[in-house]
Amino acid sequence: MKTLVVLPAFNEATTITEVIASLPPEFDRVVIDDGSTDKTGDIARDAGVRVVTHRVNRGLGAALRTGFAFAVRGGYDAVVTLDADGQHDPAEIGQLLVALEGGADIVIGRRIQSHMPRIRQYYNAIGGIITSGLFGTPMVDAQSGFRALRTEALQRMELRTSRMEISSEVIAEAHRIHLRISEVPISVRYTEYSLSKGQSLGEGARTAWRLFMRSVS
Amino acid sequence: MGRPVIMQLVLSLLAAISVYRVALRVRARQMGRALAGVWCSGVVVFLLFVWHPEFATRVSDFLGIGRGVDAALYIGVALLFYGVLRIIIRLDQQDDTLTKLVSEIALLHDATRNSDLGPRK
Repeated sequence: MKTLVVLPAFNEATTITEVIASLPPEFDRVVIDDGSTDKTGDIARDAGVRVVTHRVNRGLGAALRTGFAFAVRGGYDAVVTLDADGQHDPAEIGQLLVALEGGADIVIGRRIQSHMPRIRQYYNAIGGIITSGLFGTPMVDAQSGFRALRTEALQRMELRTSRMEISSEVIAEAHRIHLRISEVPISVRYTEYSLSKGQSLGEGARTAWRLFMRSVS
Repeated sequence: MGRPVIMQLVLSLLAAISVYRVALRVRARQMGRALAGVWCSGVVVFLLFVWHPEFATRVSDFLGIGRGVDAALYIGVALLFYGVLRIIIRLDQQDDTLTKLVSEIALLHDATRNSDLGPRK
């Protein structure tokens, strides 16, 4: 299975080198630099990966959509996405791909709850409830950024969001077009840095609002 | 209908201006005739409320609201809510268009820059 690893990155100069170095060398890799104002793009390029650069910051969803389009045009069979802040373990990519080869269209890395700070567990639970409520999807780790997707499935999805809400939108779209979703437990490494980059209550509320608007528009 | 008062005249003037602007937009082909019809119907209802307060009272009785002015307020709020919703949806669509544009420019730039390379490992 020809696989592309997509790293969406916005101002990740602190961690990007380490994350790129930890990626298994057998996969093609691309960093989507989402309009960073630090040296993320240059550092990634120096680390030897291809970098696609958004001229302006458009958000996580936009960066992922660019990565998906890159994979489709490049003739890849599968895409693996993971966060550029170092919270995911690239050594677990293989487990996601095994599940994909087992027949799933989308595999979501379900974060082991006990590895997460309590506040993140709450955000995650609320995100799951909102996704289920708005789109009628079964509960999954809706906000996990560590995923594997078949490009064939991506081509059938109609993704319209540009920011954090894409995580839930992918699940909603998968549900709408009857794709097979599988979950694989993954470890997660939270650091002070990764905690400062992720969800907050305000961002969660904005994501919920945009998801609501996505469901009515 | 009683003697015209200043407020009725001012509101009628505003209604006339809005119809004039709708007509201009239709002539410039910036608005369809169907939407213009909806706007004009709204203006007619507005003028009915302004010049025939008893009409508002009949509507409020029908809706079970009480006073005519309350019915006008409720309907106004509902229309404003609908208008804001439309604007948000339009902004959302423009946001998506902007994202597609940024993405396409990024991919084209990358393809030009790496025309002889595949993705590097």
